Amino acid sequence: MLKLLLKLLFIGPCFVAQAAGYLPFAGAEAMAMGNSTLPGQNAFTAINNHSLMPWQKHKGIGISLTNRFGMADVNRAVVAGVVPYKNFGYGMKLTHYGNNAYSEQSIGLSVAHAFNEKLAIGCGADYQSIAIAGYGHRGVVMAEISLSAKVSEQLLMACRVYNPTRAKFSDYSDERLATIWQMGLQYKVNAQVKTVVEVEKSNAFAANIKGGVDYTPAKDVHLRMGFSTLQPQFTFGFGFKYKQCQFEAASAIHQTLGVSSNLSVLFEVGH
Amino acid sequence: MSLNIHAQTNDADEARDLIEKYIENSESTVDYTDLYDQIDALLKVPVNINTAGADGLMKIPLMTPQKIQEIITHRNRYGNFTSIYELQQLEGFDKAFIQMILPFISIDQPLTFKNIGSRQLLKAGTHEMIGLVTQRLEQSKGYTLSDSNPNKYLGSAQRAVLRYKGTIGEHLQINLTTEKDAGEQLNTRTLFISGAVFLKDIKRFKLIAIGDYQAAFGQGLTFGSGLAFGKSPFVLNVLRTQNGLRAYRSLNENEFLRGAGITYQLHKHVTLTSFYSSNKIDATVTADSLQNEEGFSGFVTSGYYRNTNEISKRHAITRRLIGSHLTMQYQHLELGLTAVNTRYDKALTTGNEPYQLYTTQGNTFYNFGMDYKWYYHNMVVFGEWSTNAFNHLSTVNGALISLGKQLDISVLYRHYDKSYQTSISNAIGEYTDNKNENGCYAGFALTPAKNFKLNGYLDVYRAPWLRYGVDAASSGKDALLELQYSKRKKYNWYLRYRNEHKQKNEDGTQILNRMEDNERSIWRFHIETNVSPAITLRNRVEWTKSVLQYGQTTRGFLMFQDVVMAASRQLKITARLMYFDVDDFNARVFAYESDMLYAFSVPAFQNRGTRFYVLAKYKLNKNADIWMRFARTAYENQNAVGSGYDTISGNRASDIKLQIKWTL
Repeated sequence: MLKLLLKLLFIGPCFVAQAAGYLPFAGAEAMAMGNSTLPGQNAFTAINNHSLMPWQKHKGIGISLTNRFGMADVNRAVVAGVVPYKNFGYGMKLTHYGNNAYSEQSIGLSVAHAFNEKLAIGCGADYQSIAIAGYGHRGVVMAEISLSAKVSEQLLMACRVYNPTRAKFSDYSDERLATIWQMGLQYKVNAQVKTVVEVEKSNAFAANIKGGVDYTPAKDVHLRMGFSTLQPQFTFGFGFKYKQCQFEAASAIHQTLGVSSNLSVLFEVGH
Repeated sequence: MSLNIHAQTNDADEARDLIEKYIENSESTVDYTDLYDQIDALLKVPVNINTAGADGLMKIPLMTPQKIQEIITHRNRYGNFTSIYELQQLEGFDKAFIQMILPFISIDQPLTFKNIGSRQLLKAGTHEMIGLVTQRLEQSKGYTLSDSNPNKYLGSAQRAVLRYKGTIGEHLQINLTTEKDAGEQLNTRTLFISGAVFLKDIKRFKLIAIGDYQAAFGQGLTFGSGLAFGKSPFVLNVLRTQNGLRAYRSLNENEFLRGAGITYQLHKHVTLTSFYSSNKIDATVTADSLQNEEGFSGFVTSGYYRNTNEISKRHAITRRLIGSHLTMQYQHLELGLTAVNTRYDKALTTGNEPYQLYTTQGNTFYNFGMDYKWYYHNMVVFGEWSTNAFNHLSTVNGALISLGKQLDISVLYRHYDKSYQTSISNAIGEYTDNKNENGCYAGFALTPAKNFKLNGYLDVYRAPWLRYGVDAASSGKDALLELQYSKRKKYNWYLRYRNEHKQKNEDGTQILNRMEDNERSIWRFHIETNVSPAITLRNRVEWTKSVLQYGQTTRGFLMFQDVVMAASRQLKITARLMYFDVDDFNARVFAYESDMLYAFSVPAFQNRGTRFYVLAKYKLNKNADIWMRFARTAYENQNAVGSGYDTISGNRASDIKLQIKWTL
């Protein structure tokens, strides 16, 4: 049984590659909530949703490692950091995906401003590059904008447009990076339960509805479950916090392709 | 970076927001100025809840028979309301509801000649002048054709509108509107000029109208011009209450009456409205080769005179209308009789297609009708019976019933005979011509728990005879279900599902057309949040699906983010960023857009692309407002935008608008 649980949690696929038209995200919390990017208020906001950065209480750094299909060739690694300062938040991220034959890298900087306790906007710029063995590499700069609103104590709403300018990757057949739109709602049912639902639409695919539930059975312990509809999959995960460190793990199950998993570590500075 | 924000406290804006809520739900691209005017008129002369009868109270938006009964009972028991907030004591009048109807009600006497001197009356007047210029930045095909081509647009690409509206007290209203459409030349052959003088409440004359106006009686089946609500998420809104003559200020160049009308109080309980209209309207004229007599086969309603082809159809026929409506009101019963004669200077000569078999041809048409409304306790029963030539009876009958304070229902049955024909009507129905349709409608509005509302309707109809593009008797149904949640001043959202089935000829050319079911479904989630008194956000996600019985299934998707911000006391900015991905016309998605005063748009989107607009309203001083709007749609999968001679080469369409309003 334990083996099965471990298998569920640590092995398998997820669908992340941004060049393929999916919204990039990082962290096991996001993955466990159906690949939703809205819920986490941590260092991964530097990749998941910039506009949440100013509301971050402490400086933080996070590392996220994703294994897909149990194959090392499609692993993905992300390092992200956030520095909140007054009403602003500054973020940085580095990502790597692929193997020696094919790989995607990105480096991104972002800034966000909170007008007050309720409304914040963010923007960021990424340098996205693809390297293919024998063909060389090519890169492009692309932008991202986002907006978050804390409508009430319970309700948080966010909107995000990834690559609104449709950055061109190559003149050959007017090849462009996908533009992806996302809207989401997070609702805190009570002190222990929070839910999230998001709609993601890439111009390369049909709309994807994602959602999840986060349950806190004890202080600093989280159990999570989620789903996404486009490539139907169920997701699970857990997390716990020890002093300034937060450890998280998640799995996503696809009926045909199997299981993928994520391990993340977050570290907060300045407690 | 910081934002200096101020709360928005402009009454006119609040009224407009309310009107937007009505139109936001609409799925059509008609000119809404007429509807705006109807609601605006109500805002200008709010219903006095101390003196209005049941019929008057029913004019207040969102009113139900149960609520009317509460007001009347309270009035009878305790006397007049001394404060509007006394309404809170009545069942079903919660704070949110009172807030919503507040602009439409009063407890004061309106200004009349009796209680105010003429000098004061002049001072109480308002004068409003509006100038509007719009332009599409990309050039369309019509402008690039050679001079010899009869389809070449002869004028400039700017559209310009000038409006004047003057009111002196509540008695005298003058309005004048002129419009030059994009592509039209600036001369008297193409310029649209419309105006009217309205006098109200002079002795027994309730109303005297001279110039351009609209008229509607009963349920609009015998006669009804102008825009009226059809089936909508306001599921109880099936009763027509805005009857009589009203000023015309829209820009549609054909659909109004021109002449004079009066409403005269014959007796305490009896009122007579009579009108005469004679105006030239656009039509496609046909010549009979044998008798060499000219006729017309149909109306042209676009109102564009951009090229010689369009100019040739301008004012092709003259339509004369003469009609009267007698209203008798006694306690809670209202009865009306309508008679209208329509005469064209050329004969209506439609073709001989089977679907046109029951169309009456000729120059002269008569319509007679009887309408009624009866307010009885917690319900109102209403209807209208109409005929042309006394042998083709059509009828619409309905009721609004309050089953307690949590549930209201509406029911409506209609039988519009296949031979019934009116020159101008706007009764509720699936088809706009009010003929060849039988249908049954039922709607409900339920408050299952605090802050929640559940609305729905089902409409089932049948066309017993053929229609254009429908080569057999056909049927259809239309259902809507909507769950609303509203946390006052914080946020509100709704989830709507609508499903329609309608039969039409099978898509494509067939030897024998068979009926094909066209199904259309819509799922919409819309949330509006007030982040602060000065900032409102609106988000929407919508899916559509179209299923052709023998054809393909297509889908649509739309998502937008709105930011409405009062940046300062003078400046209000509204911005939208939208993405849509729609397979084809059948799966098109409608989305209401904020616009400047008197401009309304609910465009339909198809193909794939993004759209954004920025609308800024700046208050220059006490008397002047200025609006600017820039909108752009960029398609990802199109090399040309638009159709016909409006086609733009390229994948972008951009529009710029500037409007100035000056009030005295």
